[in-house]
Amino acid sequence: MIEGLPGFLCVRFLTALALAGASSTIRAADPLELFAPQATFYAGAMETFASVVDGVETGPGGWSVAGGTTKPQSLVVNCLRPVEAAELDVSLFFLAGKPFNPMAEFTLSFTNDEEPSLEGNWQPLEILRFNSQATTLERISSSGLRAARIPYNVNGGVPDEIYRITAVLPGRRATGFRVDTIPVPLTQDGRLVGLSWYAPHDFTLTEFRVAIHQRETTNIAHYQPARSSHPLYLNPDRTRLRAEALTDGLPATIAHPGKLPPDSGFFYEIDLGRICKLDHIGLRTRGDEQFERFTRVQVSLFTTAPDRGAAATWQGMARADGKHPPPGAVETLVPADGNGEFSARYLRISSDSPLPYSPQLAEVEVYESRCPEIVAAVADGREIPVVAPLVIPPGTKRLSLRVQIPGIGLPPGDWFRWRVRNDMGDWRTSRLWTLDMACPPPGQSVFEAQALHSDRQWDATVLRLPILVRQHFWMSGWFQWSSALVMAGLATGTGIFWSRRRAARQLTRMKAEAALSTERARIARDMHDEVGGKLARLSLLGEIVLHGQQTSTQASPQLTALTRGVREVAVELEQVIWSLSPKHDLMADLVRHIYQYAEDFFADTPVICRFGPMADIPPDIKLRPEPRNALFRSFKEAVANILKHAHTNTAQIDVRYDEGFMEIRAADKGCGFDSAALKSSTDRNGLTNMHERMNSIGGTCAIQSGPSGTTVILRWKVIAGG
Amino acid sequence: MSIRVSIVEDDAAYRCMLETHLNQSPDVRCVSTYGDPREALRRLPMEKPDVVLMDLQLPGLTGTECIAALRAEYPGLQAIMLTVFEQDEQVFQALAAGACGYLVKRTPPARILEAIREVQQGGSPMSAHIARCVVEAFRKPPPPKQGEAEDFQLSPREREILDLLAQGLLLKEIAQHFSVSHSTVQTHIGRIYKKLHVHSRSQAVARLKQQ
Repeated sequence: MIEGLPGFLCVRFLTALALAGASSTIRAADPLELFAPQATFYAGAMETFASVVDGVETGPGGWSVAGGTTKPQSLVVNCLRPVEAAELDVSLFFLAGKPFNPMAEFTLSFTNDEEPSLEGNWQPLEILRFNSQATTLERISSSGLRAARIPYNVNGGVPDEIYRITAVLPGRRATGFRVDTIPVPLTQDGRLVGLSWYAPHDFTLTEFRVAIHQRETTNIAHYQPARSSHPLYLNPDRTRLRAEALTDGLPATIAHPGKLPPDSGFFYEIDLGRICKLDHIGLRTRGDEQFERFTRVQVSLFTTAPDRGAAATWQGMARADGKHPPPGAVETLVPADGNGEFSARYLRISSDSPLPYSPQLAEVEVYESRCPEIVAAVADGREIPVVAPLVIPPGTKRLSLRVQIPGIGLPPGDWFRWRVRNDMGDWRTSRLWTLDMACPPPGQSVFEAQALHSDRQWDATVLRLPILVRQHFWMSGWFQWSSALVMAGLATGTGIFWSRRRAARQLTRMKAEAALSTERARIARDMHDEVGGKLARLSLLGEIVLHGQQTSTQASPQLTALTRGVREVAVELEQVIWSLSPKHDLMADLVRHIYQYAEDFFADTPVICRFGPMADIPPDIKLRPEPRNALFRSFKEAVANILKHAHTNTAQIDVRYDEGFMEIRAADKGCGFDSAALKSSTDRNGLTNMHERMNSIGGTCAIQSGPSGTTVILRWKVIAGG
Repeated sequence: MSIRVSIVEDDAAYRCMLETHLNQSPDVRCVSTYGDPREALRRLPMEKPDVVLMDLQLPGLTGTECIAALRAEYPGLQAIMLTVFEQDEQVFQALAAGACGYLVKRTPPARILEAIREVQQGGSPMSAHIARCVVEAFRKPPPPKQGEAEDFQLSPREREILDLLAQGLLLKEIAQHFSVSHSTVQTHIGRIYKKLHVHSRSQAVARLKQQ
């Protein structure tokens, strides 16, 4: 925060931040915000090139290298925020609408440099899967792909192309991405090279997009490499079963060994890629028919490669009873089903059952331990620090918590469940990261949350965050008790009963006022941010349409009226927000507001307005909302009258504070009027309103009118109040 | 030569409408628009547009902070603040941080163009309301400082001009009052703004030192 900003702005700033996080839940497919593209070379204007990361998939702009197609060219883009993810979806769009062609050969890389640049440190992204629309892509390295040279279409063009790639982000963090295109030989002898297969050998990358790849599963064995110690069963059609079937996510593909001697030492091995603390392991059995090939299945976990003789960190057995599960069943192993620490990078699965073709499995699902975390907490629009216990300020009505679950993937459907113990009791499931709840009652309670896995099992770890809801001191038992005692002491002889009643009433009023003030601030803020911004937009739109009409034909009077109407509503809203906001409760604020209102009000009129000095207004007198609003509204009426009736071009506004009285004078040098002559009109109403408003706060409204002009004098004996 | 303008505004609809409209004017060209203030911070010092229109309430950063940060790198910056309402307390903060003026968003676009031209020609408009705020800001005593202490105190002439502005007098009336030219008054107002920047900066520094 900058020094010198008023306190309420700091609060507002925080709230905006907190809620920006809360309201815009990042969906899995949201692309990352990329900016500041750089390239070794680009054709055309900077703006055209920059549209390669403008969020629009189609052209015509983008990265084109016309004139530089014989050399390797590179593109670098920056992430607005560093991305943290295990896997990414990278998309390359070639949608220029011209039959220009996609890149022929390229590699992808990433950096963690603070300022990604062409000269920075780049590491390859590991491409997992890829597809394309028209051509076929083939892998040339772990991070590179090459498009096949396909025949021209009948119309002579190559259709628009999109390359979609899923890649592993080593280190799980990046600040920028890079594409390197490599010239391909266009002729047999390789003397002619280009960056695309087709003339003019240029490409137009209309959009480069990166998004976090969100797996719809929390099974971390999915797609991980699997192997077996011996070749698997050879089918009658000469195809062989493959150990990859265990981690391909497809229950229909199975794996089992061929006929082996009982002491062959057969095992499957799955590499998770890193050491993980596990929650449970699911062994899915073959689902199509009953085969007695799954019993006494032993699972051993290793943190280092087992073929170098490392000892297992955990060992357990499924179906140790020697029985067989029904077809398609999932046998679940939890830490208690074995001995040791339930952490692993490598899994080995074997069986000591003498049955042939055993063990037979359809899928091995490994679930990492996941526990929700609270990353932000907002009490009635104010961000509060996330510590244990979470201390909630007194008087809070709504509590919002922002949750996140570290780890790979999310289950389809609900993501986690939560409850507040000692309050609502029952678990509630959620697939939103932001929880909004009624604030728990004063005192201590515990927020609990538990992650769900994609096999519908709840993770064994539960987040338990103690919550301490504070209460206003006047709500606490000791204060009520001691204040009652003081009251009783003061009221000796008149009866304890009545003084207690009065104390209770006062407490109720103080509470209500505190709540009202918070609520008013909130409404004012919402109206400012939501309604105010939209009205400004409407007003500009109206003006632009009007402008267009004036240059062509006569402007439509309805539209003129509509535009003026919108602007008037905006001005009116400004006044309402001002009077609502508890921020402006000083007399000096009111005076400033009165002067400023008059300045704006007469700004577009022929009336020139003059103002008195501010010097004699004491800076520290507080006013209650009722007199503040009554004075201001009466004043508005007075200036409106000047414009309507005075037929003058000079107005003079003065506010004075003298011997406890506040006096607002609105004077014009107009024609004056006989107040008795105003009988039955809306003007009469206006004057009546002024009188009534001033009377309601114990003030007076006097009107002096003569041939040299009219002066409205609003006078009020100042009653300071909070 | 057309005036090169950049818009920093997070409301995409408002930003686009404004950009389209500004570009219709022959003497104004919108060279860039930003929805994200951090990106603007990064790029504007290189683009160096003549005038920047900047929203007061930007996501993650206030317009005032943006101005302060930009001026450090790009002292020639001429920025006009856009605000939803006249009474936003931040308006004055932004002017003190170095903005050249402010506009309420509902202002007709023709007047927005006028303001851009005025600022481009070096004018620093000051309303009666802002004049009152300036008077008040200078009423707080500046921290004692060697060397330039006399530099950012208002001169008697500048005080008089502020008083007249606060009373609602127009520039030409003030010029007449002192029997000087219109542009002399403009120069005085420009100098008042400069002193305000120094004053508010040194007050911020003083506050930091107190902590």
